[in-house]
Amino acid sequence: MKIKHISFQLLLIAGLGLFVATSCKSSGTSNDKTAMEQSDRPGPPPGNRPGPPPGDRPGPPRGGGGGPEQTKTLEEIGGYQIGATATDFNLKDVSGKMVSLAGMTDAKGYVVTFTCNECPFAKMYEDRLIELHNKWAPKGYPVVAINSNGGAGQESMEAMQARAKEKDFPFVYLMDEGQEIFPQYGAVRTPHVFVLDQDLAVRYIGAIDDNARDASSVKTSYVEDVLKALSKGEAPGVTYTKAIGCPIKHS
Amino acid sequence: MHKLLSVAAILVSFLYLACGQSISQASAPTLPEPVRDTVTEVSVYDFAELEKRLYTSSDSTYIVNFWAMWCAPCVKELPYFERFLAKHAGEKTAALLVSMDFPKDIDSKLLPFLNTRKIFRSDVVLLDAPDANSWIPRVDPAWSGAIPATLIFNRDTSVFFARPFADLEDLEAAVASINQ
Repeated sequence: MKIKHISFQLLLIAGLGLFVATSCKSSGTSNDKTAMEQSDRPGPPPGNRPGPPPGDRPGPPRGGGGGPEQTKTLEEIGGYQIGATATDFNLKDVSGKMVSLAGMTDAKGYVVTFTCNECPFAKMYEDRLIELHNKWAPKGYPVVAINSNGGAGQESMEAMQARAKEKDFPFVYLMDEGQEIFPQYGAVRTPHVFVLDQDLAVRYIGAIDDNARDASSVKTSYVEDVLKALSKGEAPGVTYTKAIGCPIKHS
Repeated sequence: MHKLLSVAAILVSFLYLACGQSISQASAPTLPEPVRDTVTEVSVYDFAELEKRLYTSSDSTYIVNFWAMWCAPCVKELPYFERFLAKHAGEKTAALLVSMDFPKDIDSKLLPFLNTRKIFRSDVVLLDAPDANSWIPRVDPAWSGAIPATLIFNRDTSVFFARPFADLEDLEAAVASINQ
């Protein structure tokens, strides 16, 4: 009995020693790791330190810090706030016709979508834009697609025409020649949607839905929810969203 | 029995001592130069995992860049981060490149891309977080979601750049602006 007790103690001690040796080894070899992998990387593991909520990240106000170029907020970029009156335009469609919002006489609103040919996120939404247009244009809310990427190379009118033909776009696909329209709206990425009502008041700015990569996993269809509200004469619930997208090319 | 325990105590405290020594060596004032000669894996993060790396209590400066292979201005500025780390090795600065590419493309496209372009000094992870509207404002409330975008921070200060850097000097000025 006594022998058994001692063996247990020995086992315990051996185990403890092994544990210490192991933890020692892992800290001793951290010299081989990259700086970001070290234990002093940002954001300590949960439990170690509460970790400030994002809003509390220390730092000067945006645009501060004295850098040569200021970080612009969306407000600083300009563009519309919800409720602003959007500018109409007269832009060339892939069909060759000039198109303006005023010319769409039956419209009760407009799904103005800044998009392009090559951005993978824009491409992932092509089918959903087609579906949106086919469902909502008959109810008075057509998709109005605008390419503001400067008209060169893969974003040329010829390339736009080829893409429109290939996908059989049921909506107009306009070129923002001179890139004068997107800065007025404040579009910064593709795709970037501005839902306007009949009076061209901006009712929604943002993403089409909440899952770019997988249409079947979408939980909230932001634009469709806005159109449902507008068609019932109600105020949309969500009026502003963000999403990952390609930057609109400034040329 | 008592004898045995004392021996054990001595043994254990010796191990602790040895351990303490190597810990202090690991936290020497200059960071080791993190140069790989090949990238063999890229971790896939959800936003909660990424968010832990957007804050620090250390005395290092971190550059967190959001990019994708399909984003031309992003690809153009990647070498600036590598050159920055090479030039400022030993200044306690690290870079984390957060790829917005598809998880299925890691082996077939992303790893070859990183190795061809010799992205060896920056750490690279892939962010797989579909509901962008829920996490974009948690990186920075002013961010529209357009990439490239870069967060530069230390434990006191953080500045968000919703634009590509024009060149190495532009990036250096940005880092200097938060460390002044």
